[in-house]
Amino acid sequence: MKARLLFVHVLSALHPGTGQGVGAIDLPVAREKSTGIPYLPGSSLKGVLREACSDKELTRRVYGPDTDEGAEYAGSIQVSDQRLLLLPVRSLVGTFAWVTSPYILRRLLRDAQAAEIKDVPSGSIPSPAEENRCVVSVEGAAILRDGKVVLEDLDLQGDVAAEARQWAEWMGAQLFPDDEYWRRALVERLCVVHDGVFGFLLETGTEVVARVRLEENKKTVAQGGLWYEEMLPVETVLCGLVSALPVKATVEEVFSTVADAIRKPLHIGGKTTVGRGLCKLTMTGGA
Amino acid sequence: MGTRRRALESWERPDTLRSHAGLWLDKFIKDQTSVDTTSKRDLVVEVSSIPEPEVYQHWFKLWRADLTSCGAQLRMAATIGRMAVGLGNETVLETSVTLHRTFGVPYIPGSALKGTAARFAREYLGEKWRPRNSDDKKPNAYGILFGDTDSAGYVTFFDALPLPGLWHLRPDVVTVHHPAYYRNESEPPADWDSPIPVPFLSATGKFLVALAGPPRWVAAGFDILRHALFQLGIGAKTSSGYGRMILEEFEQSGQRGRNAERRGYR
Amino acid sequence: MRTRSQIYALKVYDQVRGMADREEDFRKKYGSMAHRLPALIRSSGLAQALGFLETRATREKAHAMLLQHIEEAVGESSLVCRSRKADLCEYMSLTRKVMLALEWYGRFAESVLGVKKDSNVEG
Repeated sequence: MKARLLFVHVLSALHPGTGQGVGAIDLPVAREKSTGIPYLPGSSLKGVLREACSDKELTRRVYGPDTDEGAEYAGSIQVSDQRLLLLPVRSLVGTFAWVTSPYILRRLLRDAQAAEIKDVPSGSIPSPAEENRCVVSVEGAAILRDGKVVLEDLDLQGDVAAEARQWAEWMGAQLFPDDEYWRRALVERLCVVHDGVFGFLLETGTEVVARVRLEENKKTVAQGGLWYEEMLPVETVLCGLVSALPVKATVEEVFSTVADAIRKPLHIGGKTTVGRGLCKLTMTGGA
Repeated sequence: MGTRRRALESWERPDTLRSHAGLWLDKFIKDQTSVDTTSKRDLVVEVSSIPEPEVYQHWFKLWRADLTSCGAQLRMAATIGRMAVGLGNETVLETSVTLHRTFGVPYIPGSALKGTAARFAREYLGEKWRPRNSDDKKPNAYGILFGDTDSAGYVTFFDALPLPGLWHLRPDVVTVHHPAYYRNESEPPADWDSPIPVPFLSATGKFLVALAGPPRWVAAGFDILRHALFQLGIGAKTSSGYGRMILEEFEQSGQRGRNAERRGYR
Repeated sequence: MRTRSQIYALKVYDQVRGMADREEDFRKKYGSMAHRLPALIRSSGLAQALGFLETRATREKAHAMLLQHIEEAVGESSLVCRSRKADLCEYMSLTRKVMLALEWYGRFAESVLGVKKDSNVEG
């Protein structure tokens, strides 16, 4: 089995499948049960990729037969759940930060190793010493002022660490290989917070959109017509693996089919008729 | 005593911090006790002083290229007066514009554009442009463009983001004459209610409107949207003249197929 | 052993049931504020959301009652003040507690007081 690393970069707010409703939010995003980390189910991404392939014969070999043909043989592709990697969080200084945590980076490291990526930072994972501290990549980072970072209304002491810079540069190289501006932006805006703080931000810092259905010809809200939808905001980055198990298609065919499908941005998740869920995918790894 | 967290009390001048307009609006009001309207007035002035983040113009270039590459048609909508789209969002202010979650710039949600266009169609375009009766088997024009209970519409209405450098947030005041009545407290409006000036934020500027779908239906969508934006307006307070816009061609000079500008996606 | 959510559920149920024989206007204001607070905490943060509730509480008995109930439920007698003074860790923990309790206020507002989430009452 061969694997590649996929990055899903959110261009317009994404609602990646609906999880359990809790209190305030009617339509929450899907989350892992054990960790609470939002993810895009691999099955829905696989469906989107399948849809984007125009060659019917190739589609069947790579993705398997249409469901109504019965499962005579399996597809040659496996798409894992795409888990949240970078959450853009509103920053008091410098507008927004790309926030992640040591736990998330360790999982990325594992995925990168599975995809046989050699240049992944080998040193230690940047880790804040305490809950009220965070790690940034460079002195004078866009989100840092007087040694402090304020995310939403959470005040953190910001420490500069070389490992954070290595990770920011490496992730930037995967996400924006030919665009120096955005690679620099990631270095300037990366903020590694304690796993506990990240958990709190995942609970409280996602985007929640109030949706209303107005009564026809009136401007009052219809009965049952106000609901809250949780979204992953623009500039969220998710990642996971895509693997090839040659059944009817070769490894090369699987990955080149995916590479073709992700040349253009793809629509993922619900509410696409109001422009939600436009995402740009990148794939790296292998040799 | 203020209502901010103590740990955040000393932060001032969000403009020099290059702060996030939406964050400052939501969480950094100094004091929100009802007697203190100064805080709300200060707040809207502070929020509207925050400059466009430098990163936004770079992002917008990619957004435009991405829209084009997934087949969307682009137009530009310019406000005539002021605009306040943001119904139903919870903020410390009563009425507000919708601010972008990541960049803090004002924008028009795709759902609001679609809603306004659909309302115009229902009210002014005759039978074909109303939601069909449940016993009609075939979808009509309304159903095809906007969708109905059985199927999603064919046309995608993207969020309309402002053109970099061509928008403003403005401190604004609405005078509420009958607060109890508008809070639905079932008291009829009476002359002796004292008018209360309520500060809020409105926006002006040019916004990139993008629709995608079958070309004929996209063209119809733009046509309806053009009339809807000019005649009905969008967002709150349209009866006071807010939200009127002109929809025009978007100059494509040097923007087609510039994939080199994209973030180096392979 | 009971989870914190279960402990809150019991307390909140008793509190909300005690409101059932209040007049309709009171019940509606109590219930709709309970529905509104979680979204307000998410958008404005705990400190500002409680500041908002505290202000409303000076004019509206139902809101004062809700604030008092929340304080009792989470076991923090001067919750509004605490939320402002708390350091980061305590602030996050208070936010979680209040959000957890509010899930129950929302549910019981609907089932016991008959106040639905989108009942169009402010005030």
